[in-house]
Amino acid sequence: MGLSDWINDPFIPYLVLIIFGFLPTEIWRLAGLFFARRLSIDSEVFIWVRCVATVLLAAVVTKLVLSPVGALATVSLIGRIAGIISGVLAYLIFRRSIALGVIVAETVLMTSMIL
Amino acid sequence: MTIAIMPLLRTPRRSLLVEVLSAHLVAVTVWTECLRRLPKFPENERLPYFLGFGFACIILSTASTLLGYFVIDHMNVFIAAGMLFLTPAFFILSVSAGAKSLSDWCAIAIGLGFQPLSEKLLGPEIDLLAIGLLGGSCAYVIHRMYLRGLS
Repeated sequence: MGLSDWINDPFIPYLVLIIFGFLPTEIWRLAGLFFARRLSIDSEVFIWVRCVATVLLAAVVTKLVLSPVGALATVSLIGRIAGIISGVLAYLIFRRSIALGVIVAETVLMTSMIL
Repeated sequence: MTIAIMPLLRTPRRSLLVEVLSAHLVAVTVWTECLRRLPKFPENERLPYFLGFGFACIILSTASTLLGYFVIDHMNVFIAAGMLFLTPAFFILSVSAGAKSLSDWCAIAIGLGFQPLSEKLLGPEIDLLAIGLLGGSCAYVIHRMYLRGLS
């Protein structure tokens, strides 16, 4: 089998997808694991890392709400922001239930699409 | 995220194989929910719960992805927008539910509030990385200063 046959093999795109989808997270996962293994359980590093990861996750939420992709981009900015805020308020006011907060957020978002 | 969850999964018999397996189950939902739930459990029940929860999430999300692939073309925009909105709505509630210290609340506020500035200054590729490192360090410093003020 020549090189051109190999490159044209229909499975190659899947192989490339697996390698390049898998490797970037794999490297950092294992690096993180081996780094964490060497630390004492009450190391300050864990608190700092938790801060970094939490900021990142909160920033992802803002990004998803302010620059949405696909169908969510058809909803008005006000509808998206109102959805998140009302979801958080519902969570805080009514028994601290995440499921209830998500339902209220979705209801407000969808209502804004009808209005 | 892998580093932050590891102290909760440490057992007296530290098996490398189990830790490598655990590291592969870390994703946002598993991470936020386990950071919140595991501290309430006895230490020997944390790892089994994490593995069960992690595999349940992977199986469900893989099945949902497959289902989504087939139904996306037939889905109206109303439902599709609602589905996409589940991600930010759940993330913010889950991470807020797990916040237990001043550093957590500072981190949430900084991430929510300063992402637009970070994206404006640095562009949409490295904005998250930059705000994570910089904002996370700020949240940590505020946490330290607060503790010093108490003592």
